[in-house]
Amino acid sequence: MLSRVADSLYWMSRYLERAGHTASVLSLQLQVALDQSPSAAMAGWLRLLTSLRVELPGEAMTDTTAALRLVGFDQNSPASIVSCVAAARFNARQVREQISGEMWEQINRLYIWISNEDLDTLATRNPQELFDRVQTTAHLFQGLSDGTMSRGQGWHFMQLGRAIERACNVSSLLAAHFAWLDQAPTATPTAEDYTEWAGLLRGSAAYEAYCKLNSAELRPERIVEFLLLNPDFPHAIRFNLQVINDTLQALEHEAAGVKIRHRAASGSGPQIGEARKIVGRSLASLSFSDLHEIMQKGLTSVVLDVRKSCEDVHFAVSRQYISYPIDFSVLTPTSLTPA
Amino acid sequence: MYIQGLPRPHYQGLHQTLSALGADELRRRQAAADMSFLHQGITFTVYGDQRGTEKIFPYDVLPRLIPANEWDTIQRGLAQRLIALNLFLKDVYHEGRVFDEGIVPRELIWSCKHFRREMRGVNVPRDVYVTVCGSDLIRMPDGRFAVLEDNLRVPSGVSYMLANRQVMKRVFPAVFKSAGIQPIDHYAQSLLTALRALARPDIADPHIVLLTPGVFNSAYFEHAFLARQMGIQLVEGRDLLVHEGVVYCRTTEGLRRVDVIYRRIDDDFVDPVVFRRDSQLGVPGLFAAIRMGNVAVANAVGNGVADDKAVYAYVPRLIRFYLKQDPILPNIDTYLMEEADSRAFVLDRLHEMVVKAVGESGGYGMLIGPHATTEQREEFRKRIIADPRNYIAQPTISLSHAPCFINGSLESRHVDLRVYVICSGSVDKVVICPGGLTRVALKKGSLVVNSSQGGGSKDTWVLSPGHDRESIGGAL
Repeated sequence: MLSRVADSLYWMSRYLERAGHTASVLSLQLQVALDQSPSAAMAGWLRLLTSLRVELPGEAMTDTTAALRLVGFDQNSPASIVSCVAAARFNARQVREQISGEMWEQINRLYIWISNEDLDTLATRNPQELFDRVQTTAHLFQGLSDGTMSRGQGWHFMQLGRAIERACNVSSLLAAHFAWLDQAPTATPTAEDYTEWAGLLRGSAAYEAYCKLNSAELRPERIVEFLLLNPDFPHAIRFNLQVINDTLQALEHEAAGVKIRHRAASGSGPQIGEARKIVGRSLASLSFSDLHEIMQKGLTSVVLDVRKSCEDVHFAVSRQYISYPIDFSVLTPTSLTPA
Repeated sequence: MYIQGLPRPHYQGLHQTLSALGADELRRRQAAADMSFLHQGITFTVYGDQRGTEKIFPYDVLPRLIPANEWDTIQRGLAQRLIALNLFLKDVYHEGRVFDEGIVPRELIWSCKHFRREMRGVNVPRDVYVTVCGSDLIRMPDGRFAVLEDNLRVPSGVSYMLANRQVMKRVFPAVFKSAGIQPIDHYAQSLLTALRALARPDIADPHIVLLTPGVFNSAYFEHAFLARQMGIQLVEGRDLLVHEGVVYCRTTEGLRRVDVIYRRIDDDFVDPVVFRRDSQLGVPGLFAAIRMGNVAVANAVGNGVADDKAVYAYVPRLIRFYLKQDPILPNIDTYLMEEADSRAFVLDRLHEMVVKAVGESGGYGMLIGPHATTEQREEFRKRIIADPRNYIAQPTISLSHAPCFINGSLESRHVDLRVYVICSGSVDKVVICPGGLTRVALKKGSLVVNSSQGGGSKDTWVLSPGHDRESIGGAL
């Protein structure tokens, strides 16, 4: 597969996941804020921006519509949902002959709908409609990929993009909501805290799954344990590190079948590549830790490590498959003279 | 379609069936066709539009019919033409017999905007300069077809020919059973065969790629479509690199050697080392690889000299010179503005002439005398006098009409016909897909059929021998 094509499939998948995630947390924030005091709601908005790794607006935020535009409806803001959808669709268009027609149609339809909407009006009158459409499309796209795409390299690069994006997003969410656990682990929760935590779980589509496991008793450390260490829930960090690991392994197996002659030194055989070493270490440290150990190390530092690993995996994959250095000394064309 | 108000004989069956079908049913089928194009995303990009909008190529449900005997003439005529043009290109870039014997003035070629002196003495695989040619035909007032122009660089539009047929089969399935319409689905296979034939003979399984400028190009849909149909990789310039005269593409498994490139980017952008320095679309070093014979590129670089609008006037003479045959298909009368007599003649009659800039295509740089304002005509007069080599003139030819289904009723619109001609591995082996892209000037009275300027298209049915008369009918 062309390196550029692999790269586009990866980013298409990442951007769509990001759009879906942002839509989900924004949607929840709008609902949660209804039950909160103005100051708590404002704190909630700031936390949301932090969790999305968005620079806070320069001047003090006096009303929340600025934040809503910044991460939702502003085409000039690269973090906004509409920008993520456009980026996902741009990448999909690059690889139209690689993805199924059904997949293309879903993403194209959402993009055309957004292009035809007056986004300012939509943001003030009915922001929920955008969130619903984006989330539905993200789910449909995922289902269609499952149902219509061959499990080749292209599929693996899409899986990789989504899992990396999810692991990063959930890490940032946990850091934004529970950094205080590192300082004052015994603070008594208030009713507003419960509202916030329920929102956090819902924003990761995790509320129901959490309740099945822990009942509806919301406790910070349980929430952390669930979103960080659960091996079975598809938005949990450990689950996604496992997906990254398995996907990289599958890619290595495929590559091992092909003779790699032209590539410079890094891994000239079915050895464990740099990317898998990074994710393997990170996965092991979560798999063989319990909550107590995590809290001792400090939650913030643990989730930051996860994020750092994801970034390192991203660059290692890029060095291995996308923009690898070429060792020209082994390029020996069979003949340089005209036939 | 009509002769003095009555349908031409080969249209009679279709005419009767359509009358029976009624406007409402026809409208339903047109809507079905439009939806089909929209869902498949069969679109082109409109330049100059801020948002880079992609539009559906407007499509008319009524097919155009070409009887077998007329097609036979077209086919023989275009094959003859392409053979001569390939021989001409080799001559221009090698011996130059055509100049020595005074058939074509040397200055005409060397002053041509698309002449590439870098190609002089370069051997092209199998001497095939033109692998794919798109020739535009029009029907003359006397009923004969004539060639309006040849496109020997990167002709486009063939994906619409194929897509139109697919949609037509879905919308009017029953008619295909008995009508004796010649199939066109094998086009991609023919093209692949022709490309494969360009690879060096010692390469058993050549690696063939389609080089596109990328998603911002107006024909990107076509590039992706053809790559998928042929089962070859769609690459951009940044996917390729050249090392010691060999072309490679960068894959997730390492570098892979490339043997044949079907390129859909213009000469100017092929290689920034040799041609335009600012090109981001091409591949540095590609031209060196071509010179060394390590990669075959179709169509060859420098073909623009043979589809220059002034050189066009010489094509009948080229056919006589190289093949010792009379041209089967006529040209349109063409006046070279460089020649003083012709210039004086045309400048007196600008209001009845079509003036074209020789190096342009796509309907740009053109004056249609009868439809132009006085200011526009004066503007062209100045331009012609300032740079006569750059202009030709032709009498305004009323393109023939075909019935189109517009806003719920049948209306007559001007049409032309683009036929795709493939040269398959040796100069004398020409393959023509029995069909083409009928382009329609959708604006009433307009003579411009280009998709970039409000043109549309319709399916073109070439009938098998014995199916010429009253054959299409019954269950449409």
